[in-house]
Amino acid sequence: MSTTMTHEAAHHEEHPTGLKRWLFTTNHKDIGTLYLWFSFTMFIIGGIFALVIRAELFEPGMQIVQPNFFNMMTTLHGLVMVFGAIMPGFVGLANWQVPLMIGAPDMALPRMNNWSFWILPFAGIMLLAPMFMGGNFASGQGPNFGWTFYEPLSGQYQHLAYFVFAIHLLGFSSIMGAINIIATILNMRAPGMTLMKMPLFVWTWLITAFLLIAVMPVLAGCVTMMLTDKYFGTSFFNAAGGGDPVLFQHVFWFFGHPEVYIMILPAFGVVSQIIPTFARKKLFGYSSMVYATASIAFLSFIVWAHHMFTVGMPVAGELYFMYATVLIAVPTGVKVFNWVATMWRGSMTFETPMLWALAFVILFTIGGFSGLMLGVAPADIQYQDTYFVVAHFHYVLVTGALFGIIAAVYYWLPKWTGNMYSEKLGKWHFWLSVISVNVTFFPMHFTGLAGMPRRYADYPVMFTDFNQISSVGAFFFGFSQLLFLFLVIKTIRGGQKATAQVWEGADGLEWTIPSPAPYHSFATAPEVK
Amino acid sequence: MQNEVTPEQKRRARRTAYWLIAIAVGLYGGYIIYTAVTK
Repeated sequence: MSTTMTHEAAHHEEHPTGLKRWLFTTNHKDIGTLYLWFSFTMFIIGGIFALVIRAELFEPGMQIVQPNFFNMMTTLHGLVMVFGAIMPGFVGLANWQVPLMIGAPDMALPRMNNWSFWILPFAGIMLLAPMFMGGNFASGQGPNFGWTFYEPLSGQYQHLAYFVFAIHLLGFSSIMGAINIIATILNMRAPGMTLMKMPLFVWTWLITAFLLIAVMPVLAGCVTMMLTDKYFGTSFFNAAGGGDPVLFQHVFWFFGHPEVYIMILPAFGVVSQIIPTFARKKLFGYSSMVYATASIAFLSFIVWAHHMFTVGMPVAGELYFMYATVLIAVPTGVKVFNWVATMWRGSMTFETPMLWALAFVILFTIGGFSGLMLGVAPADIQYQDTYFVVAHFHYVLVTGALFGIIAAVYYWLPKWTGNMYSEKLGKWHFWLSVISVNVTFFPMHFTGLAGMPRRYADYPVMFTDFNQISSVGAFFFGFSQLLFLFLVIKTIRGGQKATAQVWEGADGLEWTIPSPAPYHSFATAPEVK
Repeated sequence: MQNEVTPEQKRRARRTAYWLIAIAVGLYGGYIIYTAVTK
């Protein structure tokens, strides 16, 4: 018996080694790992762009880069972080965790999974390559029109075809990833795992995947129209030919607003896994969490024009988009209430994943509140395109989405590697990050309310103090992430062995298999009662 | 023994994927055509 078991265990670990393993892998764990490392690499690249921005803004006047290079940095920072760091980060988590959490042996379409990932590095290269074209690096040859690539400015960009192709590839990869996740969740669940028994992380990803399939084609259509406008004589967005630049903004934000939720819903899922574990209680209001997620996803389709209140739309339009926008606070409030209620009278402990999850709840809520302020049309006319907006979406995307990814990595790292990370280093990473992120972004509320516009390389002297505080915070935050890299590598290389359950309060199928998770998991399909 | 995916599961997964691909492609073309005729 034991011989058979050993033989089987050995069979489970069989896989190619070296470069071939990573190039040709169809294993969800390998692909998840690839996604997560790609995401971290892009996070570092996007972070360097951010530090160039913050270094230039440390003092008024131009010191370090040329204005066009600054524009390129703001553009590429946004694009790299959204499409290169946050989205692949969550897809990596989904690849690792969804099959483990629903008791499936792998993703439903493993070869397509490999393809989805391997498109990404090439898309990233396509996006960044124009930076190095034209022989004058310092003048900024890359995309320089803001991450929202509004027409007609973006239409004048000389390497537009590169940009369009990169976005198409990124969208293609995301759609295939989403198809795989839906096909897996709908068809590969273990016996007894009904939809309403699925862990919240799986639920949020199922809904996110539907959002992706609905809106990535909009983005693809949008950039296709840009391409035909520039190279094939159409006039979708060209006023001279009868087109409309404002139409571009409608099409873009019809993609762009659901995109915001694509980046945050999986983080909601992560937090909904972590809080019950460390509060040692079941999640409060499971079904209301599912319905709230679905409601947020639905509402995300009908609020897009709150990003463009200043284009001059009819008052009725402004009122509609304002009310629809503030309505999103209701299901979001349900979620925050449920997380707090889960902790209420729980036997809480504060290991590193829990600290990140708690920081998420508090800081994301701050970002949510500033979002409500921006959603109020008459007020938004004051805030539009100021640093207040920058503060808002960084609270949502850094202390929201990114903190969600980091929390997830701490939470599941022992399961992935078989080793416990160092709590001491984890807590150092947490406290350095959470302090510095607030030092960076909180003052931006004030610079914004005082009227400093976003995306400018220079500013009046009156904004200097707050900008210097933001820049100091940004450098601390950036370098704190190197501690995270060190911690992850240290954990992969060794450490105290993790048990199968890892956390005392952990509940779910992924905690029933050994740590590290075997290369092929669930030798027999688990029964879910 | 590894928990193999059954042929039925494979068939259902493929069918789901084909539907979703059709929806994505339809939306892509649909958005462009809609924009072209309404602009």
